[in-house]
Amino acid sequence: MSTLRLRGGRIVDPANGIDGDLGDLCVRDGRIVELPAAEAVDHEYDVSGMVVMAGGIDLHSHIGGGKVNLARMLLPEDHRINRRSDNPLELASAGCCTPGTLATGYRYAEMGYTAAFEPAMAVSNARHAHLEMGDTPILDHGAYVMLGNEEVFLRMLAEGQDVERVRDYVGWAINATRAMGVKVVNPGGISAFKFNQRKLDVDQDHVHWRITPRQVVQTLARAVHELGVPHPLHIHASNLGVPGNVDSTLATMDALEGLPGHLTHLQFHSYGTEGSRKFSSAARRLAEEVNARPNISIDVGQIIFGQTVTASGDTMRQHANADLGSPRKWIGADIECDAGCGVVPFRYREQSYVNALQWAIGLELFLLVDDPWRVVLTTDHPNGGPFTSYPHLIRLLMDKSFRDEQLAKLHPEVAANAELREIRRELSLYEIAIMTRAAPARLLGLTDRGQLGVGAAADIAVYREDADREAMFTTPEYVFKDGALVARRGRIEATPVGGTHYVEPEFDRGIERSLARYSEAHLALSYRHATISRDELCSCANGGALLPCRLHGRAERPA
Amino acid sequence: MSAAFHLRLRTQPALRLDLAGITPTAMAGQDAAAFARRPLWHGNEALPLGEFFDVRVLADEAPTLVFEGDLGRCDGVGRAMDGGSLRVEGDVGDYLGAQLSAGEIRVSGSAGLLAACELAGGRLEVEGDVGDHAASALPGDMDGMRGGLFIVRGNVGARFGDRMRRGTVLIFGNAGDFLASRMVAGTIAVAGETGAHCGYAMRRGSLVFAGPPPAIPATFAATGHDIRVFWALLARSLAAHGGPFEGLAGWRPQRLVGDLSADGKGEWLLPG
Repeated sequence: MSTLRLRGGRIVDPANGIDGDLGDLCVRDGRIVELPAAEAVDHEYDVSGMVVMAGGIDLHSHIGGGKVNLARMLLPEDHRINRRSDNPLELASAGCCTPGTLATGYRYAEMGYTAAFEPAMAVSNARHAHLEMGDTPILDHGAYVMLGNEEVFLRMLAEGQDVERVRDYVGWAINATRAMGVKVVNPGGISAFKFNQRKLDVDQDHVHWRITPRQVVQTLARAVHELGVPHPLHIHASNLGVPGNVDSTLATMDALEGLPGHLTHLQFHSYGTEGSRKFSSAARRLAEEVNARPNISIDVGQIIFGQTVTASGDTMRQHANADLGSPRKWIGADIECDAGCGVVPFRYREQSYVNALQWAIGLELFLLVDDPWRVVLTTDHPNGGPFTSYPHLIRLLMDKSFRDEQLAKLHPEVAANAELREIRRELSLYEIAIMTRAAPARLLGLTDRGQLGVGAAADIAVYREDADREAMFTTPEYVFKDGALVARRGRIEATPVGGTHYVEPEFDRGIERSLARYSEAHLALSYRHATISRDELCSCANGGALLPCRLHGRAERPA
Repeated sequence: MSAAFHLRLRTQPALRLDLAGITPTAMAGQDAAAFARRPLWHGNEALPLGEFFDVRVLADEAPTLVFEGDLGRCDGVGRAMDGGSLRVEGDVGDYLGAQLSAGEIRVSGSAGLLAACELAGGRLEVEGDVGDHAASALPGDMDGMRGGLFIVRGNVGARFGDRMRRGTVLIFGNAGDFLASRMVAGTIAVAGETGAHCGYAMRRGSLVFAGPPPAIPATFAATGHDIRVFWALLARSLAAHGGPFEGLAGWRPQRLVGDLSADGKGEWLLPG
């Protein structure tokens, strides 16, 4: 049994409504407990003058799977420039926008984050994703399985099969791949690309299957909801990056018909066509819609200037963007006509009108959506920028004068006209704690993470108070993972293995026979290997804890 | 405080030793003891340079490094060097002079893989042979050698000058397969034999064959251009290096262009 006490810190724990109360936080065996002030503990830390929060949770960060690895291979220069650290506890691993699995764990942990979720796991490549995440030290992890473009699903939809049957298929896919949720990427569009369509609007027919993205979103949102999966359908909407795509984004929200939906990297879907350049911010319009629709949650996908790489399942849009890549190389790939993959290196430039406006749009979204519980802080790592830029982003959100200073450096038309100039809102520490911990935990259905109540896991980040919020959030004084000190002042102290979050919804196993038949007829991978068992997940996860998540409206199942 | 140092390799390192960063200008102004404390990556362990090398100060006032011994396991010698002079009495490992932008490197022995990769300026001279992928791009990069002068007295390996886009190379010995593949610009003069697939997907740039003529691929075609003025200039600059290149000015070379499957603007200059 081991105990520790953090004495005299300012606790910011929005999940329990605590905003800056001075107090002690005690931990026994990796869980937060209440201990009498007089009781001796094994380790006592004086954290007076410091801010104590739960460990950060990134609910959308590309950290494992085929396209992430392709991005690493495509950009060896990122690994040459961003070399290993001199910390003997760290094994050699490099990279900034395409960090190796080890560097991913180290850099997240030393920034105070203790969990990250891979948003785009292909069914056929789920093992790879889990193996890479298992290789990522310290962080807890999980993944959303990518559905909505695979032949088997589109065929079921086109044949007009019962919603219950489609739901069983979704349930099977979540179980087979050990997913934490379901993501749909460019609904139907990745498949349409393979039939030579280069654009697919929400109510446009897929030329072959004759279904629309609206049907795909509706069907999947309903299935996810009825299966009791806590995380709403994770939606990468149609027409990513296309000027005027605000209309299809709103149509996608409509398609949910009131069911919960999480619109991811909304910044890339918030463009109008006003002005002489036919490219404008639709952030206000979208933010108002989000404010009016309580079933919608978002993450932003803020862009950060500098070199990065965009790795997406959206082959249709990545193919269209390939010519804009810098350096000029890209990869498009596919496995089993299951989804897609496009990797395009990108350098966001301050003097580019488009990039500058994207930057402003992202910040406008953060600041114009009223309810921080429905906004998650992300850069869609690495697509908008590497996750290591979160402290910079936090400062932009908390400090109006810093924001104005950065805005003044941008393309003059954007600097002079962006609506962002007029927005006075500065987020508080409490709101930042919501967007980086409490909200993602709630949206994922993690009841014992992202908060510091008694019984919660002791994932804790302690920041030394600093008016420069970027400095403050870059190097927390202490970071604990399940009660173990893993980083101190930006330096890794221990590298425990993280756990895997997943859900196990129930479904009618009758679906398996037809899936097996389909698989044997059309796929290269044998159906016998389609499902990852719990034992196999455990070995994929490097022996880390298995953390099955409770479903909606059901009692907790034994692990 | 000194500008010039002599480094004698005491024992052969057990693993690869990364010497990147040990350049004449970076080291100038240190004393021998500080130099010997400088950490080097030996496998995945950082050890002081003094564990491997005896460091001695030289009288020279210009930034200079002289390495002595078999540095075959030492990679990154002169990597990203930006001035001064570096000499190796012996062989060196991989990445010799990669990204060199100014100054001079001379190696009395042979070099490993990826020598002169992305060479941007200055002069690199190897008395012995160099391995594969010399004068090309670092793995994953889009452009190879982009300036400077690279002289190899011995033979070169495969994929020499891959994606090269500027600068001059003289090869006194033979070249391996895929010489000047995907070359974009620049000049390579070779005195010995060349391997298979010479000029594969070459887009622009010049290849001078001072020795035995190569087999002509189907994707290269003769042209009737009058190149006497250009040749006089090129031949004179190459002849200055002597040896097999000395008599070039007397030629009336045959000119081929290719690779027609790529851009087709590369040129081969053969004995007439």
